[in-house]
Amino acid sequence: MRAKNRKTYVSRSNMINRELVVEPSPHVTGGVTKDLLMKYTFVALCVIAATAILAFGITALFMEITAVVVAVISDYLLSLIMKKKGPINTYSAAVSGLIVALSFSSGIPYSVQYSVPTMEPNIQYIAVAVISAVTVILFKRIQGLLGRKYVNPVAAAKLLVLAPIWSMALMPQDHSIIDISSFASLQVALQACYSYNAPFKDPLLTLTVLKNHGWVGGASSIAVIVVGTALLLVSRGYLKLRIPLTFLATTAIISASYGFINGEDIILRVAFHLFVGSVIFLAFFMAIDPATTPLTGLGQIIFAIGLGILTFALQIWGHFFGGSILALVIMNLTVPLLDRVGIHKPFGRR
Amino acid sequence: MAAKIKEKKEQARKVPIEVFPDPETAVILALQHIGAPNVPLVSVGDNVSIGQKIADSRERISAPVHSPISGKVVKISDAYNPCYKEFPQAIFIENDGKKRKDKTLKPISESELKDVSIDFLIERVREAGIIGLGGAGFPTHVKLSPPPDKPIKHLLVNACESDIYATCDERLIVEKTSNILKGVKIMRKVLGSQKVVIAIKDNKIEAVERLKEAFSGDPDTRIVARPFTYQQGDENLLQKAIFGYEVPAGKLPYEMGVVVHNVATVNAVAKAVFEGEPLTSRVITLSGDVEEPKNLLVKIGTPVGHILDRFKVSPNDIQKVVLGGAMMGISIRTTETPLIKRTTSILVFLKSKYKLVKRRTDCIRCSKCISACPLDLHPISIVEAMEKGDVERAKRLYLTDCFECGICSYVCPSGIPLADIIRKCVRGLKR
Repeated sequence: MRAKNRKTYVSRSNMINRELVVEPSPHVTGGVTKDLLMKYTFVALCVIAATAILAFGITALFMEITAVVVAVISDYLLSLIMKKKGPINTYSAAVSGLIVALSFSSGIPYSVQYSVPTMEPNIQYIAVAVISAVTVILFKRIQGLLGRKYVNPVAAAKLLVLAPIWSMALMPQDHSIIDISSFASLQVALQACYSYNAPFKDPLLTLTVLKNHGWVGGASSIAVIVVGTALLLVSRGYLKLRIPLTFLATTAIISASYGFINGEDIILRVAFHLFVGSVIFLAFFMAIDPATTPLTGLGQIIFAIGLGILTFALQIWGHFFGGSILALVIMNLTVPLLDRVGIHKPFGRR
Repeated sequence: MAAKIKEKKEQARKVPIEVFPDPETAVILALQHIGAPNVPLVSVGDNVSIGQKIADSRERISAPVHSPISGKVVKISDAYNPCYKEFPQAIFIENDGKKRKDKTLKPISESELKDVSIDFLIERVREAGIIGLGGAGFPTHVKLSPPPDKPIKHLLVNACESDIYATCDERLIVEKTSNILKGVKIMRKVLGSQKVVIAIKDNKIEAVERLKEAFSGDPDTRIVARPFTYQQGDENLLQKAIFGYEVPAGKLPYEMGVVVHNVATVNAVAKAVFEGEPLTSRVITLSGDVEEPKNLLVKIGTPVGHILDRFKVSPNDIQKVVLGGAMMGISIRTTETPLIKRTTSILVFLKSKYKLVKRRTDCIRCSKCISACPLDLHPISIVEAMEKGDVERAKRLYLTDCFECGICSYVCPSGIPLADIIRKCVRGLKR
C-alpha cells in the first residue's frame, strides 16, 4: 500500500474506534431559556422599581432591597437543604422578591374623611421581608415539589401573611374598607387617595401618570403599561399576551357598564378600575406568571375574564381594595380545569 | 405564531459544488429507502462497474441500489445504517480505479421524450433507484404513479430546503438549473399535470433568479418565492401555504390532486432519463462547526469519516456528527457510517464549540410549544399524559399525527426534549 493511502487509513481507523456522542434531534435549540426570561422580567421590574422610588421616595428603595435580599438568601439556603431537588435559582428568586416589594400597598395618606395613617415604615419592612421569605420557601420551593405550581407564589404569600394582620389589627384603619360602590363614595375615595398630597391635583392624572398611594409597583400606570408591553414584545411569545389584554379589557367593559347603569362619570369610573395599582401592576407582572396560568388560548381568555369579574366584584361589593390578589389565587386554582378547555383539532382533522 | 429558527446558511450558500473524489472502498447499504428491504444481486469476488445494480427487491415500494464505483465486491456484511438500525446489511466494494461504466440504462435525447411511453419513464426512475432526496426517502416511481382515478392537477416542486445549515439543494438549483427544467418536463409528462409550482424560500436569491430565468418561457410553471418558515418545508404544510387546503390526516397529497417532489429528486430524474445515470451520487452540505462549509458532490457509500478526513477535521475534536439538517438529522454513533441517498448534510459539532443541549428542568407552562407546533398539537400535554402513563389521553391529543419537526424541543425554555419523547412514544405505540 502506498504511503499516502496508509496515512489516510491510520487516521480513519482512529475515528472508527471512537464512539461519537449520540443525541436525539433537534441538535440546536433556540436561545430562549427560563433564565433569560427571568432576566428580562427582572430588568423590566427594575424600571418599575425606579418609578416607585420617584413616587414614594427612599422608603420604596429600602423595601425593594429588603424583599430581594430576603428572597435570594432564602432561595440560597433552601438550595443547600434541598440539594438536587432544588437547584439554586437566583434570578427567579430576585424577580419574586421584587414583585413582593412592588405589590406591597403603601397605604393611603391621612385625610379628613379617612383618618388612616400609612403603615409604620418598620412594620412595612418586616411585612415585606416575611412575605418575601414565605413566597420563596413555601410557595416557590415547597409548592414546586408538587411538580407544578398551582397558585401565584407572591399573591398567595401576601394573602397568607397579610390577611390575619388585616383582619385583626389593621382592617378598621386600612384602605381595604373603602366603599366605592356609589359614585359619591368613589369621588370621596378619589379625593382622599388620588389628589390629597399627590403629585397632581387631578385624580385622572394621578391615576395614570404618577401616584403615591396604593401598590408600590403601580406608582405610574403609564410606566407599567410601557414596560409591560416592552417585556411582552421582547420575550417573543413566551409570555401570555392574552391574559393582560383580556383582563384589562374585561375590567374596562365591566366598569364602563357599571358607570353607565348608575349614570356616573364613566371615564373616571373606568380610569379608577383600570389604573389603580393593584390592577395594572398585577395584569402585567403577576397574572402572566406562566406556571400558574392556562396553556390553551381559550383557557387563558376565560382565566383573564374570570380574573376581571372577580376583581371588580371584590372591590365594589367586598370593599376589598387590592382584591385582585385574592381573585388571582382563586383563578389560579381553576387552571387544571381550564387546561382541558380549548384544545383545538390538529392540522388535517378540522 | 410560527416560531422562527436561525438558518445558519450564509456561508455555505455561496460555496460552489465541489466534486469529491471516489472512495477507496464504498459501503453500499442495501436498505436506504422507505419500504421493502433489498436483497444483494452480487456476491463476494464479483466485479462491478459504475451504475451496476447490486441490490433490489421485487416489492413495489422499493428502489434498487447501484455501485457508485467500478471494482470488486470484497464483502457483504453489516455496517451502521443511520436510518434503519435493524437492516445493517451492506455491500463493500473496493475501487479498482478503472471507472468502467455500466450501460444498462440507455440515455434518451430530449427530442425523444415525447415519443417514449409513461411506463418507460416510470420504469426508468425505478431502475435508477431514485428515492425522495429531501430526506424522507420514499421511492419516487411510486409517487409518480398515482391511481388512475386521481387526476394530478399540480406538480409541486419543493425547493424550500428549510432545515438548518443545508444548502445543497440551493447550490444544485443555481448550478444545474437546466437539469431541473428537464426533470420537471419528464415529471409533468408522467403525471399528466397541467400546472407546476416550484416553492422556494425567497432568501435563496440567486436560485430564485435562475429558476425565473429558466422557466420564463413556460406560462404553466409558477415560481413561488416566499419567506417560507422551517415548518413549511413539510409537504402538507407547504400545500396549505400555497394552495390553502389542509390535507386530511392520514391521506396522501395525490388525493388532493397534487404530487410533491424535492428539487434534488427532480434533478436525479433528469439525469436518469437523459444521461442514463442511476442515482449513485448526490450533493451534500458539509457544515456545522467546520471552518469552511462545503457543498460536495459525493458518491453514495463514501464513509463519513473519509469525507471528514479529507477536510482535516481531527477525529479527536469531534463531539458529534449529524446526518441531515440540525433540526431533523440523525446523530450517528461512528464515522464509519456510509453516506446514503437520503443524507442531505453532514454536520460536525466540535468539542471546543459544543454547548450541552439545555438541561431538562420543570415545565414553566409558557405554552410556547403549543403555539409553535405547526400541526396545532399540544406537545407538553401529550408528554405529560405519556409520562403519567395515560396513553388514552395522549391518543386523544393525536400524538401519532406528529411528523417530528422538532420545533417544540427547539423553543422549549426548560430544555424538555418534547419531540424526542413524542417520537419514542409513537414508535412504542406502533409496535
